Amino acid sequence: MTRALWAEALKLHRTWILPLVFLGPFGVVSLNVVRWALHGQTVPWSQLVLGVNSLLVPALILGIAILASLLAGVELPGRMWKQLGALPLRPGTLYVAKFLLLALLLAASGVLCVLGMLAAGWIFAPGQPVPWPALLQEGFGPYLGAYLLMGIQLALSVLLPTQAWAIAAGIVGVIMGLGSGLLPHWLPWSFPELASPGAGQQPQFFILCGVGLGLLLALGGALWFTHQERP
Amino acid sequence: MSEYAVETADLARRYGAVRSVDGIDLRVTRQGIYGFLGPNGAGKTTTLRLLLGLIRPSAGTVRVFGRDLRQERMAILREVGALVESPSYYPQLTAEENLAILATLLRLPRDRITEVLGQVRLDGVARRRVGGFSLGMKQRLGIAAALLNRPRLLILDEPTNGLDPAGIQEIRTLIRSLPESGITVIVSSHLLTEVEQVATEVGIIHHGRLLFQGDINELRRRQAARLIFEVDDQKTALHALSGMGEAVAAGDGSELILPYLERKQAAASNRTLVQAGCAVYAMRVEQPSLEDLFLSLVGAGESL
Repeated sequence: MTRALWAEALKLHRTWILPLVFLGPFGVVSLNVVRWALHGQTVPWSQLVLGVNSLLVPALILGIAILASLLAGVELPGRMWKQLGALPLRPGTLYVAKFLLLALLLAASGVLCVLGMLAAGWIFAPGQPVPWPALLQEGFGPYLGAYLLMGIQLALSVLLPTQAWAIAAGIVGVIMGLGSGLLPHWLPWSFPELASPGAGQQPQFFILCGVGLGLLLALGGALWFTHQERP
Repeated sequence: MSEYAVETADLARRYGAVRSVDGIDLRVTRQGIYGFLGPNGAGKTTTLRLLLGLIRPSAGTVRVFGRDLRQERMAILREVGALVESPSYYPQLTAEENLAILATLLRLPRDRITEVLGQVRLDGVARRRVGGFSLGMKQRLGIAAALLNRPRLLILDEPTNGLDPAGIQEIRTLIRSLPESGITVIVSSHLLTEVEQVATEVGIIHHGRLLFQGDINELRRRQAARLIFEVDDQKTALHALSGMGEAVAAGDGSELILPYLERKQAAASNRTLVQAGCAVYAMRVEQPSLEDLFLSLVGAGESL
């Protein structure tokens, strides 16, 4: 599996994937920075985290759709699936490697987001104690809650013959994510919001559900992928 | 141990009502070069995909080095290298980076990449992006990728597609050299001349069925030379020669077709014709090409 993961990482070279991993958190934090800068006063940490959250959730949902589609799409222009299919490897391994890489890339985005918030706090909330639990939950709660979405988007991107469904699902997902307060809680698109700090009573529940169901779906997708023909 | 590198039994693949591969019994001798010949759309690529397990057969079995593909696919693929249909590549990566991904997946050392790039003469462009490669260069990269894991069985689907004459010659030389190092090669083509120049045995497929399989010399023997007479009166001439006990056939227009005869016998036939009152305008020996045989097997009017 480490080999497959490393091979996946080599494919990122000269694609938009790594720049997007950086641009996502950069955009989310910098837009808030502009807002607070115009405000011209110090901002309490709680407001800072809330402000980031309002942009982070839809950006995360969109980011998952785009990255999953790019990770799957890297095999398409040079028709690599048939070459990989003739290697002595379980195709499911390649699928799981893509899922893990997607999760790792988004984790990197989460780390960057936390660093961005720290920098913003240093400017706009000077002297105030850093609320580490809220900060870390903002960086990683929605991310962990979004594992199920990662599973869904990767399945749509890899298992269907065209990327159209994956992109459509991503766009619908962002719209649903923006209105996630109105959504029934069992919909996967409401998980990232519900796993955010201060959103619900039980963010841990949605984090666990997101990760558990996401991993299950990834394994299901891998089995399905192993079974598919590679014409 | 099976004497064959590849052996299929009644292998078939249907797409809806279309029988793309229809009950094929392939026999590929170890350390030979098997030319898999057929017009476009005959079922070559589908058969090769079946051999690799990229698609599942509707019926029949595949055995590679005596092992059942359904049960031991991983073990078999460890000994197989393949270039199926168009070459596969990551366009944004260099030739070297492309092979590095495969080498990583196959747990191969990096030196192997330099070796195979040299083997297909891509060492000069190893650090150029494959997206800018010509079709011929991509094809070489595909062959390099197939050679990477030192396969015992190499499957090359139309490997000289898009190559210039010098490139075709190089690839032919490379293919011919492979059996020395113990490699069995299956090379498909829609061009008979391609197969003729490298193959030791040949399989001809058409409409999903195997029309001929065997030694390439056996194929040549099948189409023996013929003696053609051009006469003024075909009917009289046929009658005159029928007494000779030879298989005489009427050809086009004023021609008679006889099996190849020794010089004295040929002269005797000529004499018989003249004595019967026929004017003989010409006598010639015709050595039909494999192309003719191929056409006669697949039926005239089919594209090659």
